[in-house]
Amino acid sequence: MDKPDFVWENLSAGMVVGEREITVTAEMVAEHCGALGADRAWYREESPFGGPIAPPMIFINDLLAIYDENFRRFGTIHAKLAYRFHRPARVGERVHQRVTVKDLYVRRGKGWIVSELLVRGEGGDVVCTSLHTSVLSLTRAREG
Amino acid sequence: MSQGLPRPADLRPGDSLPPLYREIGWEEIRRFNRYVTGGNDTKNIHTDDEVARRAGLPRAVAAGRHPVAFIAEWMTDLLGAGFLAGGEIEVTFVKPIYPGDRLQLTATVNERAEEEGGTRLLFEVALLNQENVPVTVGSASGLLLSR
Repeated sequence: MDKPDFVWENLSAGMVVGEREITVTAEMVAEHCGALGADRAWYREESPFGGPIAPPMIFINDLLAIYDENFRRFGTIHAKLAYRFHRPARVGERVHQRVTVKDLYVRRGKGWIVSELLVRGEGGDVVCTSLHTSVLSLTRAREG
Repeated sequence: MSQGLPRPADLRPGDSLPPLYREIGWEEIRRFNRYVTGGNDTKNIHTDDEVARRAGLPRAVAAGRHPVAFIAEWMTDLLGAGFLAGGEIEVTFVKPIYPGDRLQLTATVNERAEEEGGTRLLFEVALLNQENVPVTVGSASGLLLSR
């Protein structure tokens, strides 16, 4: 089935865009570190959290990945990004990710979307949350 | 990892960290894009000038969230577990970052705030390009843990 376009008319505040479970692997951590030039023994060996952990921004692409699983998206211009790190994800841990549309608005003739990525650990506790504010293509959007 | 960081317990409002420098060249952008695409080289607004121009940009731009991870790693260097469990970052992307830009990361203590989990160190952070123009501005914070 064709995915809907990532445009105003196909989105609404409160909408759950998608959910999925993924396992944080040592390979994911290595790829993340390689892409960012990051390195830390805690990511490969023991850490104060009882074993190797993932870097804080390991889920940096996952909000867009979940959008791409559910929408046809050309590219996204981000305006703001906010992260809250509750605890690091452990290497080998299975986490649950959910993306929700928190707000949609029009300002100065442009559409804006605020999306949240919520990541929970195996026990259901929050690992991290992030809020992404991006430009959204307007089609039938109206001021007010 | 960052070198020459002060002891976080010694930091007071107005103190700045020694700046950190990071290059965002084509290779770094392609490496980040491969990470995003699961190992594939793709043409998009970050990797290809022509695609970026079709999207209304003057040329390719780096993904704004790419250097935000530099801030997170920097704060982890400084605060360790106090950033990984209790840290926050909030940034606004004010100017594009272009391939070849050399970024300077700056952080100045705004406040030491007492809260239930301990003392929170709040920083004003910024990424400046090689022309000293802020491209990303915002805040970062984490908890001071006794070591």
